[in-house]
Amino acid sequence: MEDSTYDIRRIAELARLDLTEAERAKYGSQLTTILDYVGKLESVPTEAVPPADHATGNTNVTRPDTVEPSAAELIVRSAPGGGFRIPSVRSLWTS
Amino acid sequence: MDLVNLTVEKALAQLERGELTAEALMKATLDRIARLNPRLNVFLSIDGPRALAAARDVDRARAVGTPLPPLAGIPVAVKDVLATRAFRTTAGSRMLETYRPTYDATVVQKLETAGAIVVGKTNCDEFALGASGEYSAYGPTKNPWDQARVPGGSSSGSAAAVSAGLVLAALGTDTGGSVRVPAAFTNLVGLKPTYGRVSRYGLIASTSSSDTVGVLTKTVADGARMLAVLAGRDVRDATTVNEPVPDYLAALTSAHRRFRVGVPAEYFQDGMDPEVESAVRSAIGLLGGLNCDVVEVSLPYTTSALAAYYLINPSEVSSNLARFDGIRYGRPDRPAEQFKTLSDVYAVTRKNGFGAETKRRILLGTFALSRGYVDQYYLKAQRVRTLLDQDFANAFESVDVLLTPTAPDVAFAIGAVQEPLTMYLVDVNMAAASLAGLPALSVPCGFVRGLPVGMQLIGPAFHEADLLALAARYEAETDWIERVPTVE
Repeated sequence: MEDSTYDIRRIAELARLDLTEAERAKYGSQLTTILDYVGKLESVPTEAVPPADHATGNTNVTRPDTVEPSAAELIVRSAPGGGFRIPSVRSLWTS
Repeated sequence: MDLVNLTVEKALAQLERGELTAEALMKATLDRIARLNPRLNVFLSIDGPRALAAARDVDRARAVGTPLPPLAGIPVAVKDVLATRAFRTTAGSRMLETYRPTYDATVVQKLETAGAIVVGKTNCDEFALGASGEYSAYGPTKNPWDQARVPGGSSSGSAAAVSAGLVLAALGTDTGGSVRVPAAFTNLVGLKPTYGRVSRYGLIASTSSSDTVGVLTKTVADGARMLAVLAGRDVRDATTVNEPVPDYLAALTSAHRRFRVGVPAEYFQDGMDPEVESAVRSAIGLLGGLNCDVVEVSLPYTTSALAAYYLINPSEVSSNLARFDGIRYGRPDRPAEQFKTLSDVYAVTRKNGFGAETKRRILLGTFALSRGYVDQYYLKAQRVRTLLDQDFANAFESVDVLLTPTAPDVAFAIGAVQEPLTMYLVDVNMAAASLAGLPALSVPCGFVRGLPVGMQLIGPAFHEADLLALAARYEAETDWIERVPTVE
């Protein structure tokens, strides 16, 4: 198994979590402890064991293709000012 | 009115006989909540006037002879991770402090159609992530048996609500033990149904592949009544199964049926409290004399279950909680349009809205799913999950039900558990059944140092009737459920 140390800054960035220096230290150390614990799975032999494909045996559950009332309008109406005003999506790659 | 000793069954009988009105029951309920909630911190939202109006409607309908649905007039509570139009739904988090759903969860609709009256929403660990109730952003709920102790989590408020006699039954959710552990800590019956037995529509998702809506009640019969209302396929939840719903109440009387009961050695860890172990072993001994064959079995992969769970759960949580971004859900501290970039909207909202445990799970899950690590962590855990399934399948070839302790200890003191991993270990006997999607029931089986102990029954998928039958048989031979906490 690869070294389980990890770049907590990178993980926090992926998770869109803004952490303080103190949080990085605290969570980093707690996660190391947890990863040590879950790392015991490494010793469980799982060659030729497929990942669980759960859980109910249902496949391709469908309903008739008929139009049904949607809650969309209710949700939009619940927004302050009747809509959601946000910074431009372009800000994700231009900043 | 003695609400602490009142069950759903007794209340229904009294209502039917005219000895009790729904209004009187609800008034007593609301009075008791007003008195005890400030101390116990059970409810996050309450609507007394709405509940009272609904109670009066039941009385009026009964007076004119209208046939009444099976739970008419029964006060119930709903864990605050289930959507309700009539109440805000916080998931125990600051992120959703003011969130008001535009729809009701299916289970809420079913309860209300059955005539039950939702009095309020109960406190829980934030996003149902926890085993004690201490991770709620709204403060911990107190255990009615000892207010310096936790009631167990994450369905902390629902358990306290029923055991303190604030409502007669409550909905919880069980993803990795969150109904069963609180039941064991508060002397209640806690039922986790088979995954797919009860609709998750309207449940704020935590671990989508193991989340279930469960029930907390004082007796097995009450649990059967609740499950009868909740079970069934729902077109709005594609993971519900078209399995016929048996008559759970009829199934309770099964004295003739001989059960093969398996006791797996792996569920009695070296570190568990010896008095708790002793209480559970006494219960096993008693069952042996109640038309049961008790045998030792082995589920060898059990010792890996918790580790697998604490990889799969955080992974799914990290995905499910991505929607809490200040736009779809939650609010940043100032209008979103005032931020320079979208990333800032997300970061500030999530920084302020999520508590420590939630952040930890998201970080752990993000890591376990990330490129370069997903095989050795998330997928490895999913492979171990298949082995856990096989353990159960093998066991159920020779036994009908498995019997284990629910928790390795009794309710601990608020603040006693500081290490995240120590908290996770409370669920050591819970994870396997959750990952395998199997039904499980915690039932009171004794007291240790004045605090309740629960034992767990696990059955094959959709065999809730068997669990309820065996639990009822044990309950009839014991009187643990007659002990109630003194909360005044």
